[in-house]
Amino acid sequence: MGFYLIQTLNAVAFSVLLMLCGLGLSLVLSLMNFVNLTHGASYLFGSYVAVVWLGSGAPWWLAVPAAFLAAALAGLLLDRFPFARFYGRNHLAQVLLTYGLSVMFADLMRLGFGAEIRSPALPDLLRGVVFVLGMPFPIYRLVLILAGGVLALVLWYLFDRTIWGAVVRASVADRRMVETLGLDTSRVFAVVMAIAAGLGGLSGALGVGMLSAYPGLDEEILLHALFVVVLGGLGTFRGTVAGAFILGFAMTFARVWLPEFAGFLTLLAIALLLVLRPDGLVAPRLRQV
Amino acid sequence: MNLLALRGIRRSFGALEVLRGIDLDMAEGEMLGLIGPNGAGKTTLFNLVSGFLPADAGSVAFAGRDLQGLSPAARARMGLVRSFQKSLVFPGLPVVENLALAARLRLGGGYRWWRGRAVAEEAAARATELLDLAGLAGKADTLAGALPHGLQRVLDVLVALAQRPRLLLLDEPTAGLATDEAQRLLGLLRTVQPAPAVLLVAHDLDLVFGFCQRLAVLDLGRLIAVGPPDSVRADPEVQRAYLGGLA
Repeated sequence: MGFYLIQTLNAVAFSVLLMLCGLGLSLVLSLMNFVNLTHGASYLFGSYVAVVWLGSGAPWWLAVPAAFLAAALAGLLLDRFPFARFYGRNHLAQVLLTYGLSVMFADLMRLGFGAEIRSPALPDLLRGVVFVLGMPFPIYRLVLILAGGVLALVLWYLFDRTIWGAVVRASVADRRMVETLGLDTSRVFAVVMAIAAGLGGLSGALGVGMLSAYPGLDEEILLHALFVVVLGGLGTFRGTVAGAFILGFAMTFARVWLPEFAGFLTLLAIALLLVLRPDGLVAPRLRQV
Repeated sequence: MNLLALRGIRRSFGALEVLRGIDLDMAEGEMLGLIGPNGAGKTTLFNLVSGFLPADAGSVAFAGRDLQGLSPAARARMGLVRSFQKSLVFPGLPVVENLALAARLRLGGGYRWWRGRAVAEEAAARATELLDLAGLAGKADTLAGALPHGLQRVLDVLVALAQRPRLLLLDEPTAGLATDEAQRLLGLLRTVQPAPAVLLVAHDLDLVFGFCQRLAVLDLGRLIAVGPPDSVRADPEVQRAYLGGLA
């Protein structure tokens, strides 16, 4: 019983990580109709920033905000050039651009941070364990679950319940109309891109204590985030959350029960779900702003 | 000083010269009708004035300031607001919130969250005032997308008015409306305070002649007549080119 509870908590922690990463990708895809395949690079960049930050002796609790800001700044720069020129282009052009950039960023990070696996020097406070039904569970993962839950709520409120969220959605629906209200939509898109990239970096910083940081992790995470978004249904917040939890649980328990077939079983589950629900778990409604 | 001054505006699309040297002035608070057959260049002129298209040559000045290089958003913030033939910015929001949002963005509440409360109250007051003026107080909580077509067009104009424009460019605001609905809609523009100058494009000539103090007639990219309705109606070139000699 205790074993399965621990595995369930592990699955929740991993799901939260996938959710944060998927939300960053989903934001840009659903709100701006832009396929950003550099999102995995944002994640890995955030992980490296956290590793370097924690190794430098700076206050540990600022590592996650630092990773968010660093990745958001990178997103902002990318928005100015070259992303803004591709917002109106078709998805194939966007994929070619962003995939090419992600390969370049992967090489640059390998050059800057090395090819070995880098693990963070976690503070003592986060190194301990708590006992659940007599089984140990890392405090770090509990913090990850809590932080992820709070962040998801903040994001949902920001984009679904505030005037700013309404403006973002209206900018996507009809950019010219929003311009006539005196709002600079390129500025709105730049902020969304920065938040999305920042979320990638933030999830990387939160996840580095669980997955470490190494070359190639960016592609793995990007693939998982894409699964989450497609599985959940494009353009739905609830769908991304549901997709993240299904993928997180499927991967965790596949590793527990049949570790040698974990990848195969996970992909099989995703394929079956997509056959049954081609539009994703939560079919997107017609966007109404 | 003129509120709007166009000088030598030219614009081509490939080999097609759509606007061929437009000179036009508008005064503060004036209602000017822009008429002309399909393809005369009316929408292109709107796009140029509102900043969605650059001119090949010529200048657009608003309140004495040259608008060259200013984005549509920057022009809107100066008080030069336009409507489109397509309707509604926020169909998923209630009518009153559409208006409050437009008013709030104009007041700077979109970015300056620290001014939130004061701006929100002022915007809500403006929204209520406009709903009362249009006789739509009973529809305040209806979703904008659920309004019948005629009321959606009224809401379009109200959204523009919520921004307290100095110049309002209205592109076919009465399209698809019954005559009495159209008259009510244009009547709003005369009663709202502060009264903006209005540049109006509409195909219903009776309506345009009845409401506008001056008319400008565009034909094949040239302004062939500008003046009060009676003199424009009597202008032989207008009759030949636009009214087909039937007026």
